Amino acid sequence: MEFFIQILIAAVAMGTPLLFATLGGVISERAGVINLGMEGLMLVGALVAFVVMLYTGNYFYAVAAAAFASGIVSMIHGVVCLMLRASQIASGLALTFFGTGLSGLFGDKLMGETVEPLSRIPIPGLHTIPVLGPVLFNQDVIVYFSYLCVALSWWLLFKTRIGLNIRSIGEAPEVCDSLGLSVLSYRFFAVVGGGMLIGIGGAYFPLALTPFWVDGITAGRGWIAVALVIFAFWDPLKALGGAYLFGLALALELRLQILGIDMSPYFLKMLPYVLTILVLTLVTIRNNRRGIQVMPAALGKVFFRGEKH
Amino acid sequence: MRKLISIIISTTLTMLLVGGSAWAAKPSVGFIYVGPVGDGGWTHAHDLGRKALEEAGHKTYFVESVPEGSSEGQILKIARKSDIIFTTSFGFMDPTLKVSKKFPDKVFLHCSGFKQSKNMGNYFGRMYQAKYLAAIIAGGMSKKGRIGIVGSQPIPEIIRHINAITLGAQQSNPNIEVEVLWINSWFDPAKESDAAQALIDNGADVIVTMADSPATVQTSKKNGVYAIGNDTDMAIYGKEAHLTAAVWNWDVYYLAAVKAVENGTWKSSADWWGLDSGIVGLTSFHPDVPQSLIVQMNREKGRILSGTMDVFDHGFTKRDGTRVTKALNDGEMLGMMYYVKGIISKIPSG
Amino acid sequence: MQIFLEKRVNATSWARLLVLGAALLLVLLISWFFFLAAGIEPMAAFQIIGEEIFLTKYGWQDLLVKMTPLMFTGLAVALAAQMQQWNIGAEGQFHMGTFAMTWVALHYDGQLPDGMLIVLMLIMAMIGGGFWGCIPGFLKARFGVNEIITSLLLNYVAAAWIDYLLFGAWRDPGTNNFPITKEFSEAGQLPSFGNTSIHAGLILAFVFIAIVAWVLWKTKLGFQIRLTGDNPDAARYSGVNIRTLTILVFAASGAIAGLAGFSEVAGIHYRLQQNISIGYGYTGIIVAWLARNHPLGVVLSAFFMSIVFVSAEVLQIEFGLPISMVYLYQGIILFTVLGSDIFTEYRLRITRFLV
Repeated sequence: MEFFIQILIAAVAMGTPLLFATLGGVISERAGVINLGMEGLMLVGALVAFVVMLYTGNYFYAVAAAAFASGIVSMIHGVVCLMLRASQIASGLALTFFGTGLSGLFGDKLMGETVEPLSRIPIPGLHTIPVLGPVLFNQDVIVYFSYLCVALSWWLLFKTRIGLNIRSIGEAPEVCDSLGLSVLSYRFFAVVGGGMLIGIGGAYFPLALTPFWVDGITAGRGWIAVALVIFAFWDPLKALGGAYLFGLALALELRLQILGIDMSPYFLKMLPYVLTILVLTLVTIRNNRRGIQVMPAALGKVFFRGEKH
Repeated sequence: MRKLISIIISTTLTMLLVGGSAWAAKPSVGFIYVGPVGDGGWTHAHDLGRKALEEAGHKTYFVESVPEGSSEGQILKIARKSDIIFTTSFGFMDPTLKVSKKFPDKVFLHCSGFKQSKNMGNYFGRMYQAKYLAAIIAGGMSKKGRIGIVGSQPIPEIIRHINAITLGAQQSNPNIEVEVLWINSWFDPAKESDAAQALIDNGADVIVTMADSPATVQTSKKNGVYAIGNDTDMAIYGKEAHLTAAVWNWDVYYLAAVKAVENGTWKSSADWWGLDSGIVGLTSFHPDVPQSLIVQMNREKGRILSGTMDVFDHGFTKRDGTRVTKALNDGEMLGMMYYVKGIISKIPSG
Repeated sequence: MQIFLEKRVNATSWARLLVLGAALLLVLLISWFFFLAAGIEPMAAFQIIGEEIFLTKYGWQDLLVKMTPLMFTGLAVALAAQMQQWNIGAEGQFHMGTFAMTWVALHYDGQLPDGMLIVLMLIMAMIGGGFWGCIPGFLKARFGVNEIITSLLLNYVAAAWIDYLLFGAWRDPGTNNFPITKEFSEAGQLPSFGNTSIHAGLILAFVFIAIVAWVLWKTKLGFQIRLTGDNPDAARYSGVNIRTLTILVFAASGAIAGLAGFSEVAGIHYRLQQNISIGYGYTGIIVAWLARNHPLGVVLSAFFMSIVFVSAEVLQIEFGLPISMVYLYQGIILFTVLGSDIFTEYRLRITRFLV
């Protein structure tokens, strides 16, 4: 039983950076903009969080600075693929280069430095619930913040006027434009807001998981998050489940070895992606019958506003 | 402005001339790295060797993070600039051989491979000897009698090290249990940390890592258990946990190899240098390590240094129970794909 | 004051060329400032990069070698994009191409008549990549599942599949059990030109570019592809079977991406190992986009991307620039090129007052 709980605790720890990044991707893609530069943004967030933590020792400042910095960097993506109408996919790849380089450059002198990792704070009352208590309510403060972010982004997307506008713009930008919504402004803010969350995902590495700096500390998690946005069907609540499921896959790869179960790690790596394709196909078939779209219809498409003369 | 340009041009020219005259005296040296010099592990250790060459007055060049799938162009460019070229990852072997044929008057040295030509040799260090000695400390410091090893990817080099660690730990604790977790990646700090946590949760109280990042040292510190560092000294990341580290001192080899080329005595060969050369070694010990353990370690070290004993030359039992009685030759060690007895995990079948 | 973009009316090819020139100048200008910031004398940097790349035979060799896989992957992406289908999966199709051809090489090396092995490997690479491309094509055509997403996800699966083989069945005991396959015999190697590293894959790339260009503009099939891309409804009314066409185009696109893998493995490595593709499939997306999905443009943009990559190496070696600076530089250059492309179609209009 304790072994089982340890797996779940590890799944949450490994899933948390994925969760933030996925939420960021969901918001951005709901507005119709793909961000393939997540790995670069996470690295920028990780570096800035580490530096600020090193000099101020304040977790709040570190997270805020990470969000701010990756927000600024994602503005480049916004300008290039929204205002200058370049391919979102190509721009996202450029962003990966840019963020990886930027973090490596400024991380150069940080080898050997360490910070104090976040400690766990049990939530009174809740942490004694069997299984769920130690897994979900005896975590660090960034994990609790991630719950808040899930709830807030769900509320924002599905319960507010702004969210409705964002989603509509991701579905039918031309219609929204003719209704007087500024497609570009909404998209720009979705990209930047999403970028900030992605940066916080990166910040979780030096603040909690690995409290030091090495080049490429996120080790490809940004690319997993790109897939997770799809796995979550562009829904913040499903992002929570999806991120923990991917976290569980990472934790299981190690714990299956402890149990002596000889399962190929490479098939374990493939599994989530194959599952995503299968589920996506099934849901698309079902929704085709009902005439509902599963994904933002305008995702990845450049928006050309009717020309003015 | 014009004056400025002329100054720049003349200084550049002077530097070129000075550089040109130095060239004749001291061969220039180029390095191809597989990771960034800031990886804090494998590539960082090689780069310390490069810096030693710089200090000895050699002009050096390097390219970092060279992808193994596309390295020929970089090796070619480095080869045009330098007289001696070191390529420091297994995957560079074929392209190094290819390029070496184009520059018959230059010397190419490839780390960890096996192909040679007239002007290409290869080199490596017997890191398993250092790991063996470090493990004597680890085995003696484990109260629960269980060592946890974080493995990167299951290749013979890493498996050889895991076996050496097991045999070493058995010197100080014959009943030691060794558990291995593979992260199936060369680099993934968060997963390394989680693997260490899983091993600790499962009863290990000394963690040895085969991966480059200091994540396992950090995790061990957090859990109040000991750790052994990999490739470079990782004590700065958690001196409370860091017992010692088995480290590379590539400067020893690089200075000697370059000297040999300079003196015209270099001949293509496969150099697998051992503890006696100083290419591998241990860093300073944790204050908790008792003197008796250090004495025991030093006794084994003395036997390796004097050549009376090596790790895999006096028989051992494989995990499946078969007994190996004869000494392993280099080829058998380089292709090692089995565990020794004492390791409770199984080698993943792939 | 208001700034907005205005579509160029009757943009002449001259105007486009002018914008292209201006964009390249902008790249040089930004590079100038970047070099200054990095502590490098910009003129010296330009000079050395120029000399190293264009004035040495090694420079040209390197450019052409690096350009070869990008021509294939760029062409693969461009072909699908002609039909407004986005193939983000060239990376995975590349890997599945290397898988299929290596399977032939490992099992039939030495058992086939002269010259047959390499042809069979080529065909298998196309089948492997084509099959992997078929999956998103089929799911799109049959069920309407978004092809961007499925093709992207399949990249991860293909990469894990290659790792599975290299760390398992295909690991070669003859090479100290490293995760690489046995080296192919000469029957499984593409010929190189003289003493260079340029191999027959380059010729093959040009051949396929010519074939795709011919199909697109000289055949009925090509007309249907372009018509569907421009106006799917019109295509449907004129009797085009869009479903079949989608699968077909995706298969062809995947097959071409698979050839990129064939050309790299049979032309350079002669064996399968980890990291054979350094993101060629993803870079192919940039190549295709810069080429405006025109097969002939792919040649130019692959050449341009190749220069970007090679100059990055020159900067590292000649000026000791760390790799992080190089990534940053590449990111900035890509952003500049991507961002300035719009001005070939649009121009900035600045008005003093609101209109």
